[in-house]
Amino acid sequence: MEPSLLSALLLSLAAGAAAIAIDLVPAILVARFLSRPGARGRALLSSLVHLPIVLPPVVTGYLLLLLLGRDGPVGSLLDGLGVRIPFTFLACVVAAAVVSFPFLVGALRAALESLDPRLEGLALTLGDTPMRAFRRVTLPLAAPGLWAGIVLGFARALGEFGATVVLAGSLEGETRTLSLAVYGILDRPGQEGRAALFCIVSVALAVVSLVLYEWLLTSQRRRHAW
Amino acid sequence: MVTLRLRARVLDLDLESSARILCLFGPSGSGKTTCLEAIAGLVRPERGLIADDAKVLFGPGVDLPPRARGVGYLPQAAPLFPHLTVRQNLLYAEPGADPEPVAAALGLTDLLGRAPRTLSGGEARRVALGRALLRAPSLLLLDEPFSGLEAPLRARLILFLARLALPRVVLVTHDPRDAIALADEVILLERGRLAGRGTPGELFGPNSSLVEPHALIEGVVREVHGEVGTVEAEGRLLEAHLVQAGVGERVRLWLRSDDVTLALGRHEDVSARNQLDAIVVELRPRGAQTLVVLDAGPRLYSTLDGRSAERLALRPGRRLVAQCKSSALKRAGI
Repeated sequence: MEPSLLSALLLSLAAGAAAIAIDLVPAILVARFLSRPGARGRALLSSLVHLPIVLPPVVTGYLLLLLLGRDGPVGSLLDGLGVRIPFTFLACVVAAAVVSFPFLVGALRAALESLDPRLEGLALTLGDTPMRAFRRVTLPLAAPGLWAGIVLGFARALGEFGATVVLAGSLEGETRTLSLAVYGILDRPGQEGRAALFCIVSVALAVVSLVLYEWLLTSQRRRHAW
Repeated sequence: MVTLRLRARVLDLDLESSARILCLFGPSGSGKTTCLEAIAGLVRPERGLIADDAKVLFGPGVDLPPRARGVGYLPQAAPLFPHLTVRQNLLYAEPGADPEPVAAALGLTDLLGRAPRTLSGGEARRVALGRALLRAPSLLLLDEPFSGLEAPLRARLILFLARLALPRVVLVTHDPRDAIALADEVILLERGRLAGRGTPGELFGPNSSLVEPHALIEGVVREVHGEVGTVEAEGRLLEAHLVQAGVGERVRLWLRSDDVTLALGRHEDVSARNQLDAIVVELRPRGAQTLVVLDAGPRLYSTLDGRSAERLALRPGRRLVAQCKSSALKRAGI
């Protein structure tokens, strides 16, 4: 395999995995909140969470850069701790985490809303605390939905370009993920062969993800048909 | 003693009852299920007092979480956790407990390894009941436990509950037969308010518009011969059609007023197995017919047309013989 392809692929996979790991707990909390009928501030939070889907990714990247840059409100704090995010591998992770977050929340929220809320109440009468009932009943029942969200979020993270290019730049071996590498190749003439190779890998990853996603969704629907 | 003083969006109730099996009866939308959910701690009344004997579950400054209320709750729909086996469902609250005794009592021993979706409605409810009982609750809440069950299954589950050593029960139903079969006291709910209360005999007796006129008779089984048995009730021996009854068991029987015929004396040449000396207590017109209230030891009712009533010269105090077939005296509500 071409070394730059391997390094870009590994970078994308690593950034995607790290992004999902960061997203997971907040996504569960937000999805749980959003799935509750009548929760106050639902519309506002939901809009905020879904913003990265509708915003041009370049704009998302720019906003993140303002926030996390050395002079930004969060960036200056991190700088004091010796952590720098823009134009490092961490920037790829942050960009991927932000753009994939709504996909995790969306899939998990749909799964939670499809569950019978009375089951959790029943667990409460059987001695569980609300937290324990969520962990023992709701989360296992929503697991396929959660996995579907993870797969879709991960796939989205692999394809991430706009926010990454603004926040992370395109440094070979450090921030040049698969999609950035493809763009770099297309930018120079006479590299159609390489471009095709990169594209095939990207398409394969996307197709595998989507098939897995569909399979998980079907199994979520089967969960409560009884 | 159960105390229910509830003010909530749909409820305005104030009652106390020491019945062992208390039935909340009413049409759908009358607030029965909300009542149960309030007792279980799943909905919060605006104010009021909910107590199980001296234990206050909800009241001024008190709102015990569901897990601390000591109640077992059997909801109407979706009673089992679909991702757990029958055994895991049974042991949900008490993972270390031995499921065998409860499983055996509820006829679930062969189902322990099954998934809930492979169970029938009756089996699923029995599992949910066992799961609630394994926690040894001091108050058991049953929400329409027999609705949607086919007649034989319904009868089995009712007989089952009637025989089980249950804690105090609050039973919610819209079916008078459930109350007649099991309840010690019935609370009639209408739009969240108390519309009447009494024993099933009082509420679903001959004045009720909800069920056809019938007598409710409590007695003890003295002899059993297959499906037919002898029941002693208020000093009289009655031949009755018994389903799964044992000698010494307390049973509740009902007898439709259409099935009771009256005669002026005893006869050797009739097929009816029960001939009871009776005194007419009261005559009530009921449309074109007359409902005769009789004291035959237990209280009985007979519906006659006007001509029959005239021929027998019926009036309060008159002595007669009330006849009925053993097959007409059945276990109540089944």
